Amino acid sequence: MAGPGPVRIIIAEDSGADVILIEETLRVAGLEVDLKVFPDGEECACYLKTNEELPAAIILDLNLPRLDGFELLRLVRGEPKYAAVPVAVLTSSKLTQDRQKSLDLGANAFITKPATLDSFVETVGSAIHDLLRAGRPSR
Amino acid sequence: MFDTAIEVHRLLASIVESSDDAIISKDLRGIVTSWNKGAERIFGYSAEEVIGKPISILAPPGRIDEMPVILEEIKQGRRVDHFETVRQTKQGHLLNISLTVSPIRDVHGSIVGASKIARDITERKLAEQTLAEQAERLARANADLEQFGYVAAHDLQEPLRGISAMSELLQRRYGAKLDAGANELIGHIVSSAERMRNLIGDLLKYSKTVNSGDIPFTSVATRSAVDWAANNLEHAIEESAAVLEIGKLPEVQGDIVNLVQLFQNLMGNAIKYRGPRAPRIQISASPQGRRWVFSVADNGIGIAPAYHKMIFGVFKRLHGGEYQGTGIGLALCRGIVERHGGRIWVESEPGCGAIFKFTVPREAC
Repeated sequence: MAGPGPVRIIIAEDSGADVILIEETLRVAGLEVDLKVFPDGEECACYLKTNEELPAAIILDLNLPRLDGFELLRLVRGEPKYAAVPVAVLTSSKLTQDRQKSLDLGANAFITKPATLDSFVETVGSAIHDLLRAGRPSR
Repeated sequence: MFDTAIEVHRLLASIVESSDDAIISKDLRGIVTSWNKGAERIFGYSAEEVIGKPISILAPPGRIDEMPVILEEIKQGRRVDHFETVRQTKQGHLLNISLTVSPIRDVHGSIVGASKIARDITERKLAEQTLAEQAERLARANADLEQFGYVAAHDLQEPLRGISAMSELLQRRYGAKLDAGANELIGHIVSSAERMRNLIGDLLKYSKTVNSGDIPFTSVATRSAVDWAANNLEHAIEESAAVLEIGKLPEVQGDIVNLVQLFQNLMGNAIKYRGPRAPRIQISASPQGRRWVFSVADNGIGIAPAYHKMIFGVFKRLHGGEYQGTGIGLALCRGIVERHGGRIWVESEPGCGAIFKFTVPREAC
């Protein structure tokens, strides 16, 4: 990744274990990332509304306290400043209706959290790669 | 035996009088001509009150129309058998009644009236209704339980994924810094989580099968289900040098995915629980009344009769260590067979192989 410094990724994820898995994924993928983690949907929404610095990507869990991932996604896609920021939904859900709803609301990717450490690192790692690549041309 | 016709008459009359059922006669206009004690007891009218009156006084509102229809049958010389209806007592209570009405003929054979035997089946109806309600409650409780099982298993996956991934990560990151004892403990966490993941996966598979009632049945050639199952087991069949002997198998109404799973589990068990010889699996079917009886027979280690019922329960296992598995296989088989309207059982003795048998209805349902 050529650039002035680490890219910023915003994560809305209430499971501490999953945050550690995402960090591990980024480490294995060799990505230098400045992670901003919100364990609560409402807090993440507040940050997104007032924040001026655009992140390189946003990763949302669906099942979040106070404000769920769908609402966050709706909010992000409703803000013109985030129009070009790629968003991934990273969830334990396998339901096609959740996938469809996420894509309809403007998510760039829908990833079901894989069950094992290795498959998580591999799947989520390549999804983040794609996400950052998707965000680049329009930036 | 009887001296006179009068004696015969008296005897018959006393039989009629002592009957628990109402025995009534009426003419072709529907006018009551006789009325026994049973009729008095059931309907509350005395013979004096009712003889000469139209039988329609017993019909509750909405049932009046039945009477001319019954009389018409009688005039045609036909009998009305066990007709279940509702009648009203003198006090206005409604009773569930089973009616049998037959024509009465005179000496020339002309139909002159009808005899009517009425049985009060209110209690039976009530019992039937209670039973139906209980069955419905039970079915609902069962469905709730299945739903609960599915949701619980599904939601358990989430924290388990955390336990499993975190312990693996712990081992990877800090394994080198920890001593052998600590690493062994982490190894136990990893393998326990793995085992739990398999159990939950199987539980989900089971609950999906027993909840898949809305997938419609189609015509399935059971032979192709067996072939498909054998194909899925190709590796195990080759490795164990198992021999399959497949007889002529019929078409049934069913869910092909279910039936493949059923044969695959039974054949897989025959291979898994093999004896010292190479496994020989014989699959056949024969008609028995309105159903097919399928049989999957092996020459494996067999099962003691004490366990013949238990093995079809969820997570019931007779063997540990040396045999892999979570113990869902036969529960799944039972779920599949019951979904298809049949039952499954085993005939076996230890050391003499096992014959798993299940039934499937023959006609399309």
